[in-house]
Amino acid sequence: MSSIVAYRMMPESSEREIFSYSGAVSAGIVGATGESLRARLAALDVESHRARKIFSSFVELAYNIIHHGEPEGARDVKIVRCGSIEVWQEEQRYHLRSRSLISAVNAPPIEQRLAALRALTPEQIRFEFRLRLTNLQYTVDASPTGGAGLGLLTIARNAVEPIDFELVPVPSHDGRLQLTIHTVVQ
Amino acid sequence: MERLTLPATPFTPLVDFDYASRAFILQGESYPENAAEFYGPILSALREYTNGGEPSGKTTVTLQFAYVNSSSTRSLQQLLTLLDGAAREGANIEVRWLVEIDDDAMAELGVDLLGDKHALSYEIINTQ
Repeated sequence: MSSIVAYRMMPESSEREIFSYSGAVSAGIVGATGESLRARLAALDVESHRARKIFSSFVELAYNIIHHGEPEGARDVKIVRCGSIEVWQEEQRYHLRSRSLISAVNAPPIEQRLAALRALTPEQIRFEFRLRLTNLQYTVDASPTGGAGLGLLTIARNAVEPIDFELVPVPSHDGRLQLTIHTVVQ
Repeated sequence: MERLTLPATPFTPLVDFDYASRAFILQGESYPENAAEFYGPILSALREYTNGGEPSGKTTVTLQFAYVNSSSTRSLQQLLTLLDGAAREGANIEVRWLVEIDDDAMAELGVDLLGDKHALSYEIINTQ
């Protein structure tokens, strides 16, 4: 690919596309794409503390797709979750945006959680993180994998501004909704 | 107890529980899809060790992570709570939390995890 074509693919002249992935999301793919992202950030000389936050938010967004996403395709024996994650840079800010389908049943609790998170100050986010980390009562009820709802709090903790999100019905997908989460790391 | 060793994978840390020398190590990445599943046997092994009533002697637990995802964080909380409980019962346990020198987030996580474990002796150590 010539550099001219690569340049044309960038969304805005002030933005630099860093990484994007769209397709099936499994633990193996989280690992492979995560390593690619790390390599890309290293190649771009992104400062290590920023690169760690970007990687952390990327992994949490990807696992969020796996844990809350609706399975796609009925033919496969193995359940497949699909989604996309893009990472781009605008000046000294790094944007991450994930998109995935979630069920109408899963939508209200996720919306409630994200809305509550958006209203928290950085100090409150840190307090909530520590509360959920140290209080054993959150283990069972908040996450099937023992995360106690810490994933979204981790994304919020890494972010320089409140997490933005959107839930949009997808008429062609039996009442499922598209969840978009946008976060900014600096 | 037989020494517990698990090789590091792209998602999970190296595990080396050398019961004979009382040196326990977790080192590497920790972002498995299901941390509870990965850490379950590790917690069971530690529970057996701390319940074993073995003769006194210092146990050193070295934790050195490149990255810890949120569900692993929760499992580490359970692991350290277990060790803190054993220390309250009289076990001599030292935890070494190793972080790269510029990894403030990892150092902060160490404080979050260890700050309330009052019976444990712990140190957050910068490495190059």
